[in-house]
Amino acid sequence: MGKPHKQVILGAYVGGVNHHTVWADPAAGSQIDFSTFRHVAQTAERGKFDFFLAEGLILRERLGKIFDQDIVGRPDTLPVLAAIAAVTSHLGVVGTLNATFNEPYELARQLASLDHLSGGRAGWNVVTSFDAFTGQNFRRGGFLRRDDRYVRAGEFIDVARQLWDSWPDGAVVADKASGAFLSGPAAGTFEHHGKQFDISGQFNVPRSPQGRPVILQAGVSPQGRDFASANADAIFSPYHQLDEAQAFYRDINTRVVAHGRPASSVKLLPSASFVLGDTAAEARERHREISLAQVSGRTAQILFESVWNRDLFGYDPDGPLPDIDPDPEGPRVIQGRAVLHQDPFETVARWRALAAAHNYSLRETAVHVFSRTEFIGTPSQVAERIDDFVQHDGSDGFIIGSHLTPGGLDEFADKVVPLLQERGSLRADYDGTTLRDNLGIPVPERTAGTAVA
Amino acid sequence: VTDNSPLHLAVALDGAGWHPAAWREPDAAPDRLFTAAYWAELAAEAERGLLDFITIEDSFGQQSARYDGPDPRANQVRGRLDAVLIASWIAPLTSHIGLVPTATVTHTEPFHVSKAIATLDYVSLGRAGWRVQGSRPWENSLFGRREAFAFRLEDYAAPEVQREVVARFDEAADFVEAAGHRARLDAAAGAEYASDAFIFTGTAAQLAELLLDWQGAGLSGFRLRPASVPRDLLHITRELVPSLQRNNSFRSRYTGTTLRERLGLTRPASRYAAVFTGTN
Repeated sequence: MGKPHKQVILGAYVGGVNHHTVWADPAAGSQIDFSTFRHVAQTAERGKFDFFLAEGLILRERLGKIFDQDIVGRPDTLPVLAAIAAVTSHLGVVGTLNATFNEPYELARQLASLDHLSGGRAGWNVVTSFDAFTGQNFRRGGFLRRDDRYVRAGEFIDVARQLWDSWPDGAVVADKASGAFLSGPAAGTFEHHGKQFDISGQFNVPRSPQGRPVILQAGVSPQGRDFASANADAIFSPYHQLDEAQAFYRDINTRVVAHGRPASSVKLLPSASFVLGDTAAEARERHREISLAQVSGRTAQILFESVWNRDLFGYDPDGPLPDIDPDPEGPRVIQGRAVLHQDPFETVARWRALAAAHNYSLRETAVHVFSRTEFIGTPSQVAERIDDFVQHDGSDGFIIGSHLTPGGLDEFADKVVPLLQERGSLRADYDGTTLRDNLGIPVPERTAGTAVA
Repeated sequence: VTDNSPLHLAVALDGAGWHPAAWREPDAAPDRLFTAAYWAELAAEAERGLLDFITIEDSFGQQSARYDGPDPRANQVRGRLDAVLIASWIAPLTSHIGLVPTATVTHTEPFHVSKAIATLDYVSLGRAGWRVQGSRPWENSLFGRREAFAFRLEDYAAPEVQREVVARFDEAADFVEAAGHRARLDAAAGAEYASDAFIFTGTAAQLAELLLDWQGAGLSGFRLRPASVPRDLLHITRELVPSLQRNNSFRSRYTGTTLRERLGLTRPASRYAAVFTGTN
């Protein structure tokens, strides 16, 4: 005992480029209109969430054609976050932005601008790419070796921090009487000579309200965990089982401390979806209906194609799993979806065993394998499980998404949030103005010696 | 002049105004240039004046009085926020005015620029434009590009460059500058104001007369660069516009919803339209 009661951190996102969003639901709205993003963000702020997360870089393809089975296309991350910030007042605005296909000067400048405009609510979810497919959208193509993506990302973040620190606090004096706009002409002067970037000049955005925007990261491999522990303010955890999640939590904290940082300085956040009902049985029945809507026969074939890497449209969704082996060496059938399965043969063998044990069809197997909903139950059951998971150090909170865009989050804000507040685990109102205030992480000291005199 | 075609008016926003000493004016707010509220207030005033659109200046490098490199000045406005993000912030807080940020094309990936401007069009419900600019050669070092991209006029005669510019550049304007209180500004700056645009110094009524003369000569509209803000912006919205309206030369309310409608531009067909219909 004696362990302090933790505050649950909540992020919100608009589900999108995957099968979780039931776009065919009569209540589903646009995936790209600003009204959708405004609604979800304002709902999240009504529910006292910490931040809104936006993402997206490339459309997926199946056998060389744009993938139209589930959602395609979404607005550009930074402009939509700036617009969201204009219609909210406390919610953090976090962008998933790629360190491979952006340049540090430009991205650091955009994030610092967003931090100024939002009054200190900007965050950056740092992701990397190595695949040539995403590279086709850019002049350089797939230029980076897989091993080098963290090397580039690490140097990218170092440079971004240097740029964010390049203006002293109070550099803008704007003294009309004396005629001094700046305290000195060298504000923003920087130099960086590294293997990935060799840049110099004058950064042209004054230090932003948070000093530096908040950095979020996902890292599962040992290299990824180490990278995130060294650099991130918050880490996306992939673990939803308490024992696995606690092991990850301990491992990250060990690494964070090894990097000379206080253990509590990095927040761990899995993503989670939910289905509510007035009774547990009703929630389960709703979930069954939703997962069937999420995984149509065609979607089931496509989900399996990402692992089999074969055209599976000839296999009956109501029949058994395909009896042929995966073809991992062949040209990619599905492009633009992260390959989550390290060994396709082992994965397929596991699914075949699952299907045999329950007499599942191809589609039923897909429903059980891919249609993941973490919280199913009454509002009080869901609130209790979220709170328990956080209090037992499975995580520090959750990034919440709904199968229904844009109205799905309303139910969570209206029914689960008040119960979390009653438990003393979620703020009754915001007590600060910045994303750092929301997350309880301090403004970093400006690194001395950054500016070149 | 009894020309039936409507006059188009835009205002170019940049820091505290275009005059180097603008930030020292009594009504200037130089300590608010890096806040969202400052830009939202200017956009609201421009919308109150029924203007066609605002432009927002931008550059990667520091402002400089020199073209060939940064200057060591600390006595003029230095530093600016990303213009596309300022415009995106303004979008949901306004409902009619066109939003035309500068986005430079020398270093930014076409993929990034195109989806940013397209998203501005979404968040503004069809009011986005794009002021296309190149970067100054000395800004290369910010991106680690050692080879200076030399500005060559002949490049702009290349058919593919022209096609891109025609396809994407929606700005229907020419440049005029209003500077009613120029002497004081020049005194504060310690030098006579120089500009790449025509500098107008006079009353709003005189400016209205001049703009109508020029419209009669065949110009569609004007992008005015206020010497100082808010003073000269208010001259435009509260004096110039009413003066034009009294002449029946300017709209008395907004009609239509998109910037294209306002400028009388048709919606371009997607170059992929044939592909879409072909596959379905």
